[in-house]
Amino acid sequence: MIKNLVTFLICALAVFTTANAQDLSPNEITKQRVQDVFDEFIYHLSLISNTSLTEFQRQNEIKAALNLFIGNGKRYTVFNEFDEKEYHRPVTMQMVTSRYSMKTFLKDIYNHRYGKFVIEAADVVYFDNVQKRSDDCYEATAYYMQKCLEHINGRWVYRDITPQKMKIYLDNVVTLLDGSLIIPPKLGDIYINAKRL
Amino acid sequence: MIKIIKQLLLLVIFSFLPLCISAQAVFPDMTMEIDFKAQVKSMEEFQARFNGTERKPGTDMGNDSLTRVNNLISLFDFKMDKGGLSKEAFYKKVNSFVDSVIITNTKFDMLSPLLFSECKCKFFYKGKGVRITLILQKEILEKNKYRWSLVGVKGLSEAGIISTTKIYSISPVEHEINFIGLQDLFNENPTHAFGYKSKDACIDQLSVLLTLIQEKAIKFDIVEEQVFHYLGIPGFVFTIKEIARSGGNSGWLINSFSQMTRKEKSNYIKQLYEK
Repeated sequence: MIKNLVTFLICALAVFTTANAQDLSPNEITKQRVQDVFDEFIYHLSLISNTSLTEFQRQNEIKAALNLFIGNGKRYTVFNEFDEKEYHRPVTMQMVTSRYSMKTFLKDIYNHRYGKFVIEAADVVYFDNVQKRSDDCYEATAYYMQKCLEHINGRWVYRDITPQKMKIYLDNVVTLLDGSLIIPPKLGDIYINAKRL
Repeated sequence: MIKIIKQLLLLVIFSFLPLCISAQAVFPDMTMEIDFKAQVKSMEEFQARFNGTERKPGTDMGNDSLTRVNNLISLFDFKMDKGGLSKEAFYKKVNSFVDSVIITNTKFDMLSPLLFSECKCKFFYKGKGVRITLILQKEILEKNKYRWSLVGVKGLSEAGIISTTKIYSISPVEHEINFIGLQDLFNENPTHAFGYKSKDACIDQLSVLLTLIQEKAIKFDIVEEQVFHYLGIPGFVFTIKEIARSGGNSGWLINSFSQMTRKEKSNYIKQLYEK
């Protein structure tokens, strides 16, 4: 009985995923994948700030969030058109005139430097067209609103809402067995122009 | 049996996790969503709205030409400095800009050589923060491959990196002794270096800055302000700046524009590069 139920669930999930993928164009699939990675990042942010989790779990969430970024939060290199290495510092967040590394930002959230809050992202995410950087290496920018909710006097209120821009790297095209191409996106530098609230 | 139940539970959790994440991302603030859609979020979106391939939500007037006019007007920063003009005179100026775009069917082109990005940057020179402006242009490398390239630098004099006010002399008899004196002039008085050039010799600030960067004598810190200059509209020059505020009239917007002849435009480019 249970085995049948498990089989049914797996089949239902597979049909659901395939149906979704079939409806999308290759460009939309890339955008969808970027959206998924981006949602995952926001999901990790919420868990990092969640004090009901253990220290170990929250530390692991920092690692998981950093793994979504190019260089996994460390210094990284990309190859230019001459196939030479181009060196980069760890991915950063820039807020108008100040800048700090993603690792520092995540640790600040972990240490509740910004107070106790929950971060959510809007489901309205806008993408520019993907631009070719070099052979098999593409870049894009994602635009989104990030909401920060703070628990004050027993209710959640918006602390700030910031329009943010994030560079997306689309390198190392992976060819699947069926011949289709997938570009696993890696998140890059974030620029925050101003607070909306 | 317990193992199977555990597996089943895990499967259910993982099946519904993506749904939970997307549920978390639901946007309750409708104004914000409308604003986000209306905002000119990127220069690519600016281009699409300017050229009429995308309409700003709310600009559809049911009539194509009116919609186009409305769409173009929505790209102006409504709080821009009117330059002392009365409301009527300013609207007239805006209308003549819009007319020029529509009548000549001019498109805004991100790859145009008439688009310049002016970046006011902060560098560190000898441990001190200095402001230097970079001028960039887009270049086509090959089909579907573009890059930004540096075409000009200004502000090195103000930053105290080059000095053009003082002229220092190399002794008029130095040629007789194989210009031995240059060793002292250059090595003992490096701050006078630019003073030894001919009065007519131009200093290429871009080359100076790139040399300093290559020799690690200057460190880049941050771009403090970015403005685009577009000279591709017949009779007009305008600047685009990212305006950060709530509401639909935000993002990349035209924050200044002036009527200019061709000759005035070439002087404008010259000024953009120098000082």
